[in-house]
Amino acid sequence: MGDNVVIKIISTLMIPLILIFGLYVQFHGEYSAGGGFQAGVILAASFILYDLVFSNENFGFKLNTDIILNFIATGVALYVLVGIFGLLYGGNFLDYSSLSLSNDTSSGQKIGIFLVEIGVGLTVSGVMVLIYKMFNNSKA
Amino acid sequence: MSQIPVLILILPLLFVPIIILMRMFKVSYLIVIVSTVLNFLLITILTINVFTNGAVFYELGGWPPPVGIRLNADTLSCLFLMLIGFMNLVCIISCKEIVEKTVSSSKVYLFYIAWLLCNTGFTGIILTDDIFNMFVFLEISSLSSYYLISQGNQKKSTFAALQYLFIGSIGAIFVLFAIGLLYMITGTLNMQDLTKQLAVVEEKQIILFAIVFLLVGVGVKSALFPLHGWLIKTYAYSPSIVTTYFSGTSTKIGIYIFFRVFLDILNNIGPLTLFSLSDILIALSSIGVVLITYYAIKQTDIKKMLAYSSVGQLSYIFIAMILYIPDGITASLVHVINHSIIKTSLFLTLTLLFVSKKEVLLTDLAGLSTKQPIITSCFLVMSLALVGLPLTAGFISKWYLILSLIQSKYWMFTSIVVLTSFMTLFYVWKMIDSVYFKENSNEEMFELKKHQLIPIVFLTLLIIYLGVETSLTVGVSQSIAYDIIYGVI
Repeated sequence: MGDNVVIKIISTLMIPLILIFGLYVQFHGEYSAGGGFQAGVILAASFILYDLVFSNENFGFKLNTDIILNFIATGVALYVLVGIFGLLYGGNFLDYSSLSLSNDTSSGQKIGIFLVEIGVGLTVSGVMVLIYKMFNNSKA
Repeated sequence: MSQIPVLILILPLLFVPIIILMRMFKVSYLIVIVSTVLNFLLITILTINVFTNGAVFYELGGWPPPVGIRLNADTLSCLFLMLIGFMNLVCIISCKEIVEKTVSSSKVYLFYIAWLLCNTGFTGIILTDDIFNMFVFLEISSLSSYYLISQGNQKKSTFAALQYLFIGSIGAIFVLFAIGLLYMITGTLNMQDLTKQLAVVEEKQIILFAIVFLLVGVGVKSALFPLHGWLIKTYAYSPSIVTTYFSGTSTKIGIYIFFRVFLDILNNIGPLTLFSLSDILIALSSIGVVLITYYAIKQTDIKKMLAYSSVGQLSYIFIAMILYIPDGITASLVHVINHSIIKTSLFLTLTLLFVSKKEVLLTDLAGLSTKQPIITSCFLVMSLALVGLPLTAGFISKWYLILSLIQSKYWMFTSIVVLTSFMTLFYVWKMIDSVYFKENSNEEMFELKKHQLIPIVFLTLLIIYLGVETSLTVGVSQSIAYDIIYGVI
């Protein structure tokens, strides 16, 4: 599939757009529709498209199963650690108000949601790419 | 102290990414055993606290219900928590050599992760106070158990996992649909709020639909008689240590959901009497227990025989529960505990004796008594406990079951239970027969190491202890039963 010029050009145009849209959905998740799950899937779509089209080229960027597994683990760990941070400051699990930098507890809510969504995004995109990689490997 | 309910849930979740990140150093077993022992200690502290000071609630993120999600540890959940935690601890302690032999070394860390997640799912189902959260934890435990089952190193185990996946997913969808219906008419997902709202709801028809869906969904998970097909294949073809673990936990979680949903959340409506659910269930279970015991006698594969026996014993639990009298509920709770311990110890003995064997036939047991005298005596005690002989744990629960059936004046079902108890003796006798009286045909009987004997001997002593000293199991179950009947829980 990578030999077709049309596919190559269109995907070089598409991949940055998909990446930016994924990041937009990630960081606006707490205000509008979206969040970690959706952003993770969109980001994973761009990686999968890249791997489908350019896997034969020597760009030096290859999806590595080991690194993806580390990303997945980091995402889960980030979520749990943000939750435990609340415990250490005398609140309950996932009590974001302990994260606030000023006296205003609502800023802590924003930071907490932000970090947790990043964790979710990392794990979801990692899992999506890993599923793709596994199907890809089983064919070969 | 007040943070213990959530620590029980999140400590395994914290250890899972650590196992993934440290997968190169081959320390997964160490991490798993640390997590399991910690978990069991926390559960013990929580249980002691709940039984002395009453139920413990925990609001996640500091948000009060019905907006936020709450964890609820009352006496019923602590009973099941202790059971699951103890079974998990026994299996994890004795599983190291077995896992090394059955699972390829590059996948050992994945196996342990699936195990930890499965156990987290079980504890989550027990601890949560939010009915949708219960569904999510149900899915977590189911998905990881599909993986665990498929690791049996044979084609049939993949097939068994796939079959369980299809049946389990259908069951889960039924549960989800029922939760959706309940949410539609009440607008809340918190269990205690749901109980209050359902008492004043007018639409009895929708509640009927929700009850039917819940019955089918939970019935699949707890292997209620016509829905038990997955359990036989799962027990027979999954890795034997996974079978050992599931025999004490997986179906008991189904029973717990049954208790929580029908005898706690929907208790005000009286689902067992209002929609004559008890008649349907008692008929199904009675037909089931006769048929299943008959099938169990016909088996030559011991794992399949014990799997059929599990379904039969679960039918006893159902029969006892739906009588809805204090003695009946006591009998079912005591039988949940006793049967878990008996079945787990039987499967554990088989697992340790035949590590590398995929199928264990009755003839494989021949000559065990001359080679392994200690294990043979333990095996004898476990088998007799399965029948329900006096001085073993099985007797206590059967005694209370028959007592409660007589109290409710169900003479026909009493005779069925007595009859099937005698039928149990047939297949148990087939095992004892080949252990003691058959000539030794094969020389490759697995030599047990000394330290592997410890869990088996401990479980055997526990079976005898629970058969003689009943104040622990029966006393606790009785207090829970009265709480349920008088609607305190």
